[in-house]
Amino acid sequence: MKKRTKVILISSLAMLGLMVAISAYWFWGRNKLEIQVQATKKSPDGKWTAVVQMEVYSAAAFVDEAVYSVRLKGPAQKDRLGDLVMNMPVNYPDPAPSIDWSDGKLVVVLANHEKYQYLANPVDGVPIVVQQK
Amino acid sequence: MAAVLAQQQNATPLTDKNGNVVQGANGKPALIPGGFDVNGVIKTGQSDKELRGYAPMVGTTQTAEDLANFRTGGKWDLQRLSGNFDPRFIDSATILIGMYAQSAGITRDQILSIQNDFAAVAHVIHGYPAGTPMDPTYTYLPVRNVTNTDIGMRLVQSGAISIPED
Repeated sequence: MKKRTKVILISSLAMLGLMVAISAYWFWGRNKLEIQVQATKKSPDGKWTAVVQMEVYSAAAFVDEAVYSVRLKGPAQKDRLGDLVMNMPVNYPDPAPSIDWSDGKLVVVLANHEKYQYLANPVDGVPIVVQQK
Repeated sequence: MAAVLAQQQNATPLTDKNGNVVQGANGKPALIPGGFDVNGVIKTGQSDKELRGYAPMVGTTQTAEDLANFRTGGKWDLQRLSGNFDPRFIDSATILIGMYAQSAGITRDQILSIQNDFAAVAHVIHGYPAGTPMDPTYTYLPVRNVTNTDIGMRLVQSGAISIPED
């Protein structure tokens, strides 16, 4: 390997390392999860509350992943955020999913072109119905 | 744990120098906060690249400092210029990172590796939403982030977005 190539390679690696180290020092404490509740609907039997919430997963710098999550909350929930029913990417100006209860089922309505990236069915014994309108 | 939409802020489509609207990774027009100076970011990148050329350590430190503007709540974090997370600017926030990287002479692998390293830390802390499509190479980055970074780098590389000569 030529001396010039070695110098460029070492400089590049040093630059990358330095940038990561300085940035990591500055940003470590900024990782967080932000939540905004968009809608809530209590089940007719009162056992569950279905929620739609925007969840923003922040990696302190550079990366944010935002989804609309549909979750079931209640005394028997296993996940501290509520038991996950559906995740759908946030794509402005697409609307958040809407929710309702019908015959003991949780009905989740998406706009016609919207696609979820995760769906569990049933959740906590509650059947989920997905509709697109 | 609270986030409030801040949609009172104006949003305008990101356009190239011919007025064409830039599409984000989601296939929709990439919006930027009204009045945000995209050219200023590119100019800073070019200046950082020049500085590294004749003063490598100073230039590298300056580059790291300017990259820090993309931190959560930083002055180049388009998603939070209003102080709260604004979902309209998800795609443009990462497109801007690609634009800065390209103008600053940071390679695709370098900028994606840096993003990946930060994301790895975040992944340990709170994971990603279930079902998030992840990149096969930069395994802690969602595909959407990689695609948007690429869009930003291509815009500058191709000259579709460039700052006027003084």
